[in-house]
Amino acid sequence: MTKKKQQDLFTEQLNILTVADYIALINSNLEVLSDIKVEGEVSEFRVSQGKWVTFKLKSEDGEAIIDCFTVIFKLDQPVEDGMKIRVQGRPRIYPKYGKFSISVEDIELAGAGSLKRAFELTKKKLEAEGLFAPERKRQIPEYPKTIGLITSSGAAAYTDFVKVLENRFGGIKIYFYNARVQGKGAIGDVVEAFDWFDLNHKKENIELVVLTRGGGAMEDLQAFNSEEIARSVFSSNIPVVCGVGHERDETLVDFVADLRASTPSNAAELIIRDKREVLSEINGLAQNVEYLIKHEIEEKQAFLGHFSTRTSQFINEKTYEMKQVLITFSHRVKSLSGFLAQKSQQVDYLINNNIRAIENKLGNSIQIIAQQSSLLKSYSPKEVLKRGYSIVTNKNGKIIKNINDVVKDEEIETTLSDGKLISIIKNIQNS
Amino acid sequence: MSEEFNFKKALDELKKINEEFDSEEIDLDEALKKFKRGLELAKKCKERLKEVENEVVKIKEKFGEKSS
Repeated sequence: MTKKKQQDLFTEQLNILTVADYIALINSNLEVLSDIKVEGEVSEFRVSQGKWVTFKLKSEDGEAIIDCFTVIFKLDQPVEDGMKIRVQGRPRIYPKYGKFSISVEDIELAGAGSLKRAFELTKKKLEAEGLFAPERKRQIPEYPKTIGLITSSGAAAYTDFVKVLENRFGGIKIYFYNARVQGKGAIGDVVEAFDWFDLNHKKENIELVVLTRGGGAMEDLQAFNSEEIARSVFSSNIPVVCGVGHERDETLVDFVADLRASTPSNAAELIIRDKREVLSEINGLAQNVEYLIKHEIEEKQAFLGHFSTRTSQFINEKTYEMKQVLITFSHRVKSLSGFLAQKSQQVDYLINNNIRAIENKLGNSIQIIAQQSSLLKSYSPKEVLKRGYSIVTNKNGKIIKNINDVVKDEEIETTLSDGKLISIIKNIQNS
Repeated sequence: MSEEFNFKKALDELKKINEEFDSEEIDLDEALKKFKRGLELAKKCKERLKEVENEVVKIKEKFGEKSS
């Protein structure tokens, strides 16, 4: 064998690989593509056993397609069919089936449509769990002395918040946690910040925490639409004020926060009143109290003055009334004695009248009695006897009125006006 | 400014005194005491409002640093 032939054979043997080695060779050569992001539309999105995620990424025209594989915890945004996403991961051939796929490390939502859809999906999920419930919103303490602040030190939000706050009220201690508010590190930083406040708020007497950043495109505000930050806000041990974006920006943390501010400056305005306003209120209160007490004293003085006038007036009135009563009384007494004298005269007159009447009546009666008496006299039996009549009685003195009262030979007594005749009945004859 | 001074409590007490003066028939002796207390509270609150600066305590300087 020539030297050349030997060399050719060696080269040939080197180019022959087993299937497994070949796939391994390809896979190792594909490693360099791991940093590339591939953009496409999701289809056939599936989650199995609550853990394994598979989907296809296809080109807009549907002409090109790649299988993708990942695990659920690597998804920080909801993904569903039809969404436009960018995946970044290791491209590889799975040896057992000889299938090409991307083992996805990170997914980004691409385009406003996908972001909006993901926002709606997360919102719906968190709302159903009760993270936005108004009844769980806590009261923001008034006039806080110590507060927490989560934002990026380089952002306008930081400067705006601190400036507006200082302009409104002084003497506040701000615990500032510098956190990225945009891009990949934002979620982790903000979650970590909340963990720090949960751990340290008691020790440092921190009464509330402000999470803020300026406005931006929906993509820039994405961390504030993430489930992780929303849950951190929800589970914070101290009340949370969120001021993310501009007036019209709406993020999920706004719904979860205990108080929502429209901008970083507005967050400062909502947590404390302007000291000028408070000062004017304090002055008003102090002046009002002073006015009221002065008024009270004046009123009492006036009352006392009025009272003494009223008292002497009262005494004078009563004295006069008493005098009047006495005068009236003495008049009454006088007129009463006159009246009594008059009445006594009347009584005397009446008595005299009565006596006269009685005397007259008595006179008449005496006359009548005299007449009656002489009349009676004329009726006396003795007077009758004088006129020739007589009374016959038996021995027992019983007056004999008819012949049957006597018997023959009975002794009878005849009374005459001047004496009695004793006789014996000799004969009895009917008349 | 003493550590115990609580701005909100002081302001609330001042408001309460004001309400009592406004609504109740008050005993003058009691009122004078409350009036004195009210002025004291107003003075303390005003002193607190004179503070102009806020203090910023930075928890960490750079991103990714381990926070204390």
